[in-house]
Amino acid sequence: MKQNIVAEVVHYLKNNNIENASKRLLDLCWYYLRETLEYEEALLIRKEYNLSKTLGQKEIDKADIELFRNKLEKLLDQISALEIEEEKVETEPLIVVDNLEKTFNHISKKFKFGPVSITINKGEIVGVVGENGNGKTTFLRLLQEEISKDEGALTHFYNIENLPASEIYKRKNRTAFIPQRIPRWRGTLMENLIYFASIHGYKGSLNEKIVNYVIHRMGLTAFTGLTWNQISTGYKLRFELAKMLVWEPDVLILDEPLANLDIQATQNLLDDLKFFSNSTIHPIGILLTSQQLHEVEQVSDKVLFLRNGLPVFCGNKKDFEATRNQRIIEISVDSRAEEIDQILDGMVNQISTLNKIIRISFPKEMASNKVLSKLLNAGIELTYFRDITNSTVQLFND
Amino acid sequence: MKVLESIKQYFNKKSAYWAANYPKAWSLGWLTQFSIAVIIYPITFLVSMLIPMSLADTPDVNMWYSLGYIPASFWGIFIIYRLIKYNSEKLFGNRNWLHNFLELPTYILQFIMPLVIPFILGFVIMVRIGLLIDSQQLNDSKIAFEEAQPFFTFDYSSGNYAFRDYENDYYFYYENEYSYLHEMYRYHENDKAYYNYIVSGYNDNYNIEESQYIYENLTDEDVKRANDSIPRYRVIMRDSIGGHKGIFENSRPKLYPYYFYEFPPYRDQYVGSHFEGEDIFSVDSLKQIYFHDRYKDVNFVRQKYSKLLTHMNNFKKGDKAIFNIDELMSLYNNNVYSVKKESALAEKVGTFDRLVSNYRNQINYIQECKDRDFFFVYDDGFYGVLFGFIFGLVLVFSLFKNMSWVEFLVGLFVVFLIPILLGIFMAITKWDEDQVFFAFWFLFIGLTIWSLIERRGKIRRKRGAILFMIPHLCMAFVPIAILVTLDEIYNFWEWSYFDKYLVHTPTSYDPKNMSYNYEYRYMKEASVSTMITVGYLLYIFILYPLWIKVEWLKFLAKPKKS
Repeated sequence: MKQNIVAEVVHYLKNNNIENASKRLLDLCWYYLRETLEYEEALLIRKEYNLSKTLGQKEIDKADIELFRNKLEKLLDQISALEIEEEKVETEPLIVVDNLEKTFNHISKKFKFGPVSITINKGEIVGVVGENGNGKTTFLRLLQEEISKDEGALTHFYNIENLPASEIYKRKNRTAFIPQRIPRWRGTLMENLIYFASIHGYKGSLNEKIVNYVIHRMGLTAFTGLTWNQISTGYKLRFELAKMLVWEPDVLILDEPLANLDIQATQNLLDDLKFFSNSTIHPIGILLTSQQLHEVEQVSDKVLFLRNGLPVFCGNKKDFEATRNQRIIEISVDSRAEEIDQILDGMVNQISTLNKIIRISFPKEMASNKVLSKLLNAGIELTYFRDITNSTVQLFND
Repeated sequence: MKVLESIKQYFNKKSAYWAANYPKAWSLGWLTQFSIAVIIYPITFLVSMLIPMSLADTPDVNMWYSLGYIPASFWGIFIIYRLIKYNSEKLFGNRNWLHNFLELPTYILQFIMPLVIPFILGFVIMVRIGLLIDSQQLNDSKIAFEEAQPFFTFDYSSGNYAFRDYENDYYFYYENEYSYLHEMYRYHENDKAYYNYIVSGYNDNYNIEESQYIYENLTDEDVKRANDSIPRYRVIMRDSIGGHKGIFENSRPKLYPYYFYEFPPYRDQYVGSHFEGEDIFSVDSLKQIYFHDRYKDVNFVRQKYSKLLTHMNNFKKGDKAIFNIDELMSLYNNNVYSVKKESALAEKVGTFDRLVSNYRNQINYIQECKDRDFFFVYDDGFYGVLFGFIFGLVLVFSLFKNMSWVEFLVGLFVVFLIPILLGIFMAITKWDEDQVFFAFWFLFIGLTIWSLIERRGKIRRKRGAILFMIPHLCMAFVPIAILVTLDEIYNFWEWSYFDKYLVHTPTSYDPKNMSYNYEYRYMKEASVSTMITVGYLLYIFILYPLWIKVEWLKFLAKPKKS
């Protein structure tokens, strides 16, 4: 893992991406060199970088970029020279869901969720996808034990502390839940982070250390003194995530976290989630729901696709790939579907239109390049292309 | 500005330290609480010290004490805001047993802290007033005033003094803190059993109820006859300020020379007969001496009024004038004391009334300040009630901490509505006291059992939360309720066992009246307050941390139905 991160940092530095380079270097130090001067140095660089950014600005001045790059390169050299022992992360189950069911008998609408069975492992991200009203949030609430189940079983394998409380309280003590509508909090960001860490047992210097790490890591350095009313929706989510990460839960559940984020913020968040789930020190299981299937699939190890409360697909992405017997691509062109059909005559199984997107199915053995070449040779101008062969997005129209 | 910035930084640093190390204490706002206390207590003290005062214009201690509740209320609101700001239980934070044990004591202490403000205000102002005049000077004033008492009569309905406007009448006054009797009796010379002096109501303050027994317009022959007969005509000085602890202890040796010196020797038959014959209650020797000396037979000597004027003048000379002495003297000079109220001088009489009343009140007030005889210093009952209020507040607040807003509001509505509706029903259907009492017992037991059954379920229902409010709010009062129940069943307090506590307490209506004495009252009060205290302690340190809080935590974590 160390080598991977080092390689990532080198790549970012080469592209003058100080944001990601400083973040990843800090991660590296946090995981392997927490008690060293190198960590302190990485924290300082990251902090200075965060403070040098003007609010709303994506990057900093070129002179500053050079300065930070030099510092980071110097630190990276030092770290690369160090011998680091890496622990191998074992994949262990955290929650085993067995035939979970829940029925809502509302007067206006009856809805049955499940049965659903899935295992959430340590260091794994599970993407829960599906159209609106198909049971995604219900599933998360059932996992969080916020609502009662009717049938099935939830088995937790948490490392629960010896709390003088009921088992369910202990489980909730180790599960972090970020709802779509983030509940209002009081006080400053800093106060909340310190408080959340300390009520979960991170006290004294440990508290200071983890809070500082999360603040600077999440780019919240300049926001620590702000209150709820003073930050944007995107930062509220980022802060909520920070609030959960400071106490290192076993499972992190996020309901539609990408709903209000721009492209860059979405990518950052997903990167962060991937990183935290894969942590060698404290790998966590993450569940998230989203409508942005492509983005979620990028980071997910498992996908649960729900339709009318039932799992249309549930399992590893590779398992999904194995079930696909044809290749499907999506394109956006100026021409009409009929013209495309004529150009690709005989090559494809099916052409359908979804708004302005044309979805083309053809035998799996055929490479996408072949289809694309034919279209380009015919003078068709492509404005969008995506191979969705292995994506659950195709299930929406199944 | 730099100073303010430094202070802010200092507090932020401290706050972060507390949040990181003592999250529970921090979330309860202890750091903020102490900071407020460190600032507001000295300010309150300073304000108390700066309030202007003189003998003629003394601030009202009770009013200032009450005013202190205004900032205290704001502080209280801030505490509540702070307490609901963070709730580690609802965040499923780590807990240990100590948290459960300290929860209620912490809340109680927090709500007590603001109440120190009115206490400081009242206490400091009270002490300052007490120091306005030394005890010797105050005693002299009292003595002079009392000496002139027979010239006046006190109108209890208006609270003013008036000149006596009667002839050949006996006036009997019986006064205590709780009741007042003002009876006029025609004089019958042979009715020797007529005077009635009751000593009662003693406690550490020597709260003494006294009677006044005055015969006026005595002829020399009357006086002579009075000197030769027992009981005789007597003037028992109405000593409204004599009941205070400090006064008689401090002033006793100085009192007698002024107004007892020319009267016949003391005869035991009067006060002594009550002590020795009836054994009203056991009194210590000091008290006996006091009463024996204090109420010696006195003759009425009219000329002594001049002493009052002398002392009033002394006040004035010492730049401590309370009244218009010149006007007072002119009234005396015109012999208006013997003039009927209907006369042309009524207006002047009214002025005089006010002057004398003010004088008396001022002396009493200053003596009260010297003796610290205010409810917020001495009265245990007041603090008992205050603690009860705080305890109730804490119970309601702790409920809120363990419930959602909806459960809390609906629950409170239901919990208060049930007894009200039941009470109305019982009133309409005319249940007697015992039936009502036991109906509420059964209601409590029934709802508590129902709540326990309800809470065994795996799902969090609003009904379960609302039902569990019953034991949460009522358990502390179970011990005292058991005591009262025993009394209801066995007529506990009326047992013949307690007959030995019955004493002869004659009244003007019933000379053979018997009532329970203070030993009995103390015993009863001690039993009641013990049971209440046991209830509080049992609840705060055992029931709440080991059962009620644990139940709430379980409940908080349970999943909802949907």
